[in-house]
Amino acid sequence: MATEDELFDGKFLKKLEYLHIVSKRAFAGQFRAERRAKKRGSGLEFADHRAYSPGDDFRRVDWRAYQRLEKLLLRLFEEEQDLPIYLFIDCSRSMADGRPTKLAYACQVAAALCYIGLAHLDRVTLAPYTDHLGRELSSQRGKGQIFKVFKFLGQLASGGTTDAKAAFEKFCRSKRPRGITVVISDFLDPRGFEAGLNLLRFSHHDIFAIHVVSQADSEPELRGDLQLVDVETGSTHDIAATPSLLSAYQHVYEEFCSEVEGFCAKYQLGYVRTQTEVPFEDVILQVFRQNRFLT
Amino acid sequence: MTFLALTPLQMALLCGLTAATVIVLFFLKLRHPRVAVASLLLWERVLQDRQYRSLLERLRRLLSLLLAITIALLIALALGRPEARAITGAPREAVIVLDTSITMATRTADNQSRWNHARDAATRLIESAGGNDRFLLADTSGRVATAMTADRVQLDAALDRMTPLAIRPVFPQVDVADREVIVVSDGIAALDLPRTARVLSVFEPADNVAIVDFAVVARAGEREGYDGRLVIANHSLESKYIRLTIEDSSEVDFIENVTVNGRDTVMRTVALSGNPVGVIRARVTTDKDMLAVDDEAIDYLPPLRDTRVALVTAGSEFLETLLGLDERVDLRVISPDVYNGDETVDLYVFDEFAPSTQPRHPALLFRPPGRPWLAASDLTPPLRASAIEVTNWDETHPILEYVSMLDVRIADARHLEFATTNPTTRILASGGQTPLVVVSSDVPKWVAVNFSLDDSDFPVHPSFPIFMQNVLTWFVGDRLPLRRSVGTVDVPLSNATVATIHGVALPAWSRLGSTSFEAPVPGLYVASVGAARTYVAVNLPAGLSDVNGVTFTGRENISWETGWWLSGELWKYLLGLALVLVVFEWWTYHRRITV
Repeated sequence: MATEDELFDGKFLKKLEYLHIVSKRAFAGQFRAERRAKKRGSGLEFADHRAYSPGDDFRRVDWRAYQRLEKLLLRLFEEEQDLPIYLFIDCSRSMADGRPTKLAYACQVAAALCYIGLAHLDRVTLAPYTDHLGRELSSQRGKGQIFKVFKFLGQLASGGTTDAKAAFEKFCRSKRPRGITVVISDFLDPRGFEAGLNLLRFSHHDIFAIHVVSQADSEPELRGDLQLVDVETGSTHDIAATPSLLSAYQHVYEEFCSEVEGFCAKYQLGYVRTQTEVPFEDVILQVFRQNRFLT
Repeated sequence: MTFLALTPLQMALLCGLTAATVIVLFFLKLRHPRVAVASLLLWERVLQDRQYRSLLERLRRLLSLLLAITIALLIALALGRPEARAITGAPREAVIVLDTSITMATRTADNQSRWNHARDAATRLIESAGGNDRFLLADTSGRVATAMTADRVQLDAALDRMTPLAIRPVFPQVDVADREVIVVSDGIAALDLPRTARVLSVFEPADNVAIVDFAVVARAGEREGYDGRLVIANHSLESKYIRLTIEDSSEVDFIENVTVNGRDTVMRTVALSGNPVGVIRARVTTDKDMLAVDDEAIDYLPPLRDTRVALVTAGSEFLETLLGLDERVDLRVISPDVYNGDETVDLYVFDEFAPSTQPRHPALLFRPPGRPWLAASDLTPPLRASAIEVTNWDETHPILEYVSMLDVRIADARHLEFATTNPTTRILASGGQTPLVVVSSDVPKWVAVNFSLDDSDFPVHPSFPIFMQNVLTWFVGDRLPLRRSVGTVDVPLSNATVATIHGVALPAWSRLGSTSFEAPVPGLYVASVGAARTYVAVNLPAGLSDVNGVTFTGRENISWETGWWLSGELWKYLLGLALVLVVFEWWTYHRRITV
């Protein structure tokens, strides 16, 4: 896997600092930060008025409003807290495909998103998964943690089969604070990609699906009589790779991507499809912004 | 369906083994290269979409196997050479007779020959026939005849063996009953054609001149005078200017130019100069001569030497005069009283006398008494016959060649009983039951003439000196050549070996004191028994090379009615179908339709 120096030069990091991960909803934070939280508090951003009640702090009475309305009204400010961000990285064997590998690409994207989150004092949790939830790097906060993130991502390796439902079940049972959940995967789950996303959806997370595809998946360069071997399950299938068969495969693959995208649209989940051949800086700076995942 | 090459059991075994082998080989496919992919999830969707959608598509997977088995079985069936009347129709049988007379060698305007055209026509006829149709091929020389067969290879081989020959052609002895008979001929040879025969004519008018007869004969009474006697024929439709050449083995003796009208014949007797000896050739040349084999004729003259003859007689004016006039005869006349058998001579001539023991040299006896060595009884009184006419004589024997005894009158003859059971003793001439001329070819030879010259008019006939010359020549070995026509030649020598003039031995067979051999081409042949040799000048018989003398006509084309059936053997179609299926299999394989 590429080192952090190779991943992020200074200019790129500077650009990342100006980006925010967009959350469609406000979630309760744990610490003060830059995110608008559900509760009203002592932030700088004016939120609302409410009638004065005995015992309220006189310093928050809006005297100008009293002058005009002759009513004691208290000024309310938005509380700015941190945002839980969960990054799920698919580490199954299928992610080892492509050039660069889908896993490497996923790690790069995850690193970038981590940096954005850390730069805005969000609590970032990295969770690799296959058919179970792997060892997490939990609740990192502050840009200083980015090196831990790099180190953690650098240690990830592909292996095992994909079972998102089993992996996310464990996550959902652990009663984590709700937040933004980013799933970076190729979604080639033999049991179906819908089950895992549904679990997260039912847990009221704000979900973003980053669909990593490689050219080897979308346009495989196969020719002649071959025995295809599933790298995850080891099952085989004989094919005669003809242009018509490859064309049919591409058609099926497009259908699959459309299914994933359609599913996300149906349930208002964020969806971004990215090719490993596209430089990930472009993905971060352009594609994600176009899809309103980042601002 | 029947099989020409294999029995049904063999065919069934072959088909079974072939199918089993193909099936085993089909499933022993090479393992495909393994390629790792991220997931088979989508590939299975693709393959599920493309395959197993219906029973038909499941069967399609077997199409490749079925094609392979079908191709192999078609090839196996082709090896068995199947025959099916339902496909190729009921077989027909035909006899094709190709005229191989020498006029078929005549060149045609397209620089081919009538024979080439005949052969091509026969080939076309056979090729246009159905696969089961059978043919019998025969020629008119009696040399090549096949069985009734559908085997085209055998028929082609028979055609290859056929060639025009200078042999008098005859219609072959084949069974033509209930069979189509097609004769491919130029219509020159007088063939006894069956009534139902159809003639495919390859006739084309042609120019040709020929020597139809040739002989070199000595002028009577002259030691070194020879005449060449020729008959020249112009078989062309127009007159021809012909150059005649006669030459012996050393030099050209005679050249003459002759103009002969079309379809006409001229006779020429030309005096040969010098002292010709050995092989004498006569040749005619003209422009546009389309047949060469009859342009040359051959004869032979033996080397001359004196013959010592002892005439044992009490007095014979005819014999003394004739032998005394012959410059090649060294004559010695002795009385029967002084004969002792020790004379230094080449041969004896006994006049009304015969020694009691056979002399050591050949002997000609006129009216001999009965002697045991003559195989004639002297114990019983010999019978006498009077007023005899010669009723039978054999002109083919050398001593009677060119000798006519038609008008010979014999007043009195001695009737001796010769033991003709001995094959070397033959009666060459007889008058009724009375043997008149008897010969023995046992060495030393003898000739018995059973009448006295004084009791007949034979000495005054023109053939008498020829008879005497023939006898002397027959006795001394180097005799005048026999003149024969091409074909089977008989030589009056027992157990002789035969060779060409160049020493190439020919197969020969003995029959009743003579030797026979085949002389397919004109030329000089030599038959030998010990020191005795007989030269045989073989020439074309008269009329055999009349290239325009059409005796029957025919059509220029005869088609073989095959109907809608397939022509040719089925194996060709099976192999063709197998090839088509191979192409189809190749096409479908490369488009992955059947795999």
